[in-house]
Amino acid sequence: MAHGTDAKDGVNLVYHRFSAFHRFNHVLVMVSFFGLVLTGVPLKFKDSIWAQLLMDLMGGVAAAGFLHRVMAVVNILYFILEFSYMAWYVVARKGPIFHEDSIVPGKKDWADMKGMFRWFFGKGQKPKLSRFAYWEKFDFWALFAGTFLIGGSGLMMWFPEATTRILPGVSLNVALVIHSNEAFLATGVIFIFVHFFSAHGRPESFPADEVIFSGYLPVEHYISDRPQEYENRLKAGTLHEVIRPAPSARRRRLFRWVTATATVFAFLAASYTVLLVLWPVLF
Amino acid sequence: MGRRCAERGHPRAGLGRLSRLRRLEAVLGLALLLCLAVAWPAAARDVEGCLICHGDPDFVDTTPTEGGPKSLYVDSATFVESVHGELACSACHKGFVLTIPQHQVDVEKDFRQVAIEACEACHPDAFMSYQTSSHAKFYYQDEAGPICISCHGSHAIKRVRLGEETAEFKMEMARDSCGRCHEDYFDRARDEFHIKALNLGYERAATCFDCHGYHENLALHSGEPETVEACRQCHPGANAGFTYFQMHLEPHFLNAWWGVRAVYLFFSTLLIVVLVVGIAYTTVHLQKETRIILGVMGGGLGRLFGFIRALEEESYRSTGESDHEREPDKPTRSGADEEGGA
Repeated sequence: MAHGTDAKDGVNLVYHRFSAFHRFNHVLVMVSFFGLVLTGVPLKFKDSIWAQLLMDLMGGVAAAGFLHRVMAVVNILYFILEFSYMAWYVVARKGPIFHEDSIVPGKKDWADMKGMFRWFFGKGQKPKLSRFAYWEKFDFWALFAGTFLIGGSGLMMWFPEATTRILPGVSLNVALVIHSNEAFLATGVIFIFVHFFSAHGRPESFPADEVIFSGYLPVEHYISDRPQEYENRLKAGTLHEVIRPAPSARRRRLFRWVTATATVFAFLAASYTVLLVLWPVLF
Repeated sequence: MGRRCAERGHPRAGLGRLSRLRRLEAVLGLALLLCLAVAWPAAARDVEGCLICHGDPDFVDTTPTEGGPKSLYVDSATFVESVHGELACSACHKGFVLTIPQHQVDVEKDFRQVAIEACEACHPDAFMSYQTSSHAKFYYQDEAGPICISCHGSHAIKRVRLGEETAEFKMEMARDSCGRCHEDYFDRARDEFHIKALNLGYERAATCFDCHGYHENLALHSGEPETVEACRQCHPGANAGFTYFQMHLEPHFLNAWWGVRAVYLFFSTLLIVVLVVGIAYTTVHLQKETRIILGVMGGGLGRLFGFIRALEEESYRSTGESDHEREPDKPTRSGADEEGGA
């Protein structure tokens, strides 16, 4: 069951996993990503029966193009915010960088992956995960790199005249190839097989992990889900930084509604993406 | 009283019948007038009587040719709708005399020359543009080269206001005019974002003649001033570098610059690798989770599996297979049970 959704009255302490800034960024990515896919994909699959239908629903190519650019601005905003945050984190030494509990991939991730595969085939215990599991790191960095590539190539094509003042025109061909392929990769693969399944589709969080909307999960879920981080914090004596009193019932209800709405939204998007992935395979 | 009525009734009935007849006449007359009114414009324009013969769908040139008899039929309904619908036949078919079919040797040449001259008479500017085009160069070298009617057609030229064309119309023109000879280019252009957008209904997107010109038929090579001019119609800031964007690329960018091909190859490979690895990883993870869930729900499902197993054993027994052959099945089930406990 989803973390925190059924926090009972007895639960009075929660683990604070995501700050308001990170939750806000997730919403930015979520909204802009689906907006971009919805408005961009009919151009890629122009011969399919639903391309024209989708374009007409959005009010024509011009309207879809406008929406795509609006969503691109939101997406770029996410990238700038996240990049600035990371820069500030490093410069101001907000926390450890090369550590088990940081977002930077390390040796433990490789070991965890091997451990998970052992567990998949019934040959060992589930590895003790730290703050970010290897699939979460993959998710984060793939999205970060993807946003840079897709956003960069998109901007090149948005302002072709400015681009060709510096680069030759053939760079726009390259940009188009990158934009189209990388967008399809991000849509079809990361957001179905990696993010949607690993982050929200696993039985412990199905149908959606509320923690990314609410920011917290019950302490007992935390200890079973991220035992390594719990151990590390226990040893370092920093547990008090992340353990907080549970939010009010009203706030909990609010987050439950937000999560439910996002879940419906995500399931529609996932079905649509499955269609996208299957389309070139079937037709 | 009844008689009086009948007496009075009789002439009245007669009058009724008469008026009914008259009404019928009037209706028939009106219908005839209406028919005439509808048919009149077509009829009026055929003052020369050409459609007496050419209005017959079965009217053909009987001269034996390779492709069978050539139709000489003109669809008057389409013609009347066309932009030239007001003109008489001889306005374009200049110098037509009934003897022409006898000049069999030169008829095609005469016809094409007359056709060009006919268009030039009213459209001198378009003709001047055409004179400089590669189409004209081709035509003056070889009779087979395209002339006005090769692209525009003859009797069905539509009435269009320049700049107000719909996306469908532009696509139709590109397909039926340019695409008829430049098939390969037209097919490749379908994968290009200009035509993609046009195909999905964006009428401002460029099609063949928006860049190559309606009559000039510019070749448009990268880096040339006329190419820059062509791009600047929509992209005012375009410079020479802008024109090095590669158009009309084959599927999978086979004829593109090697850099484009390399990037395409890299990202396509990446796409396939990540897709395959992603699906495989998810499947492996999912089977584990499914086994856990089935283990938790063991009670009901276990009984179901037990029932299936009993059926299987029954079928094995009936076919007389020995027991040790199906022993490898057994650990799987017990293994699943252990997962549930874990």
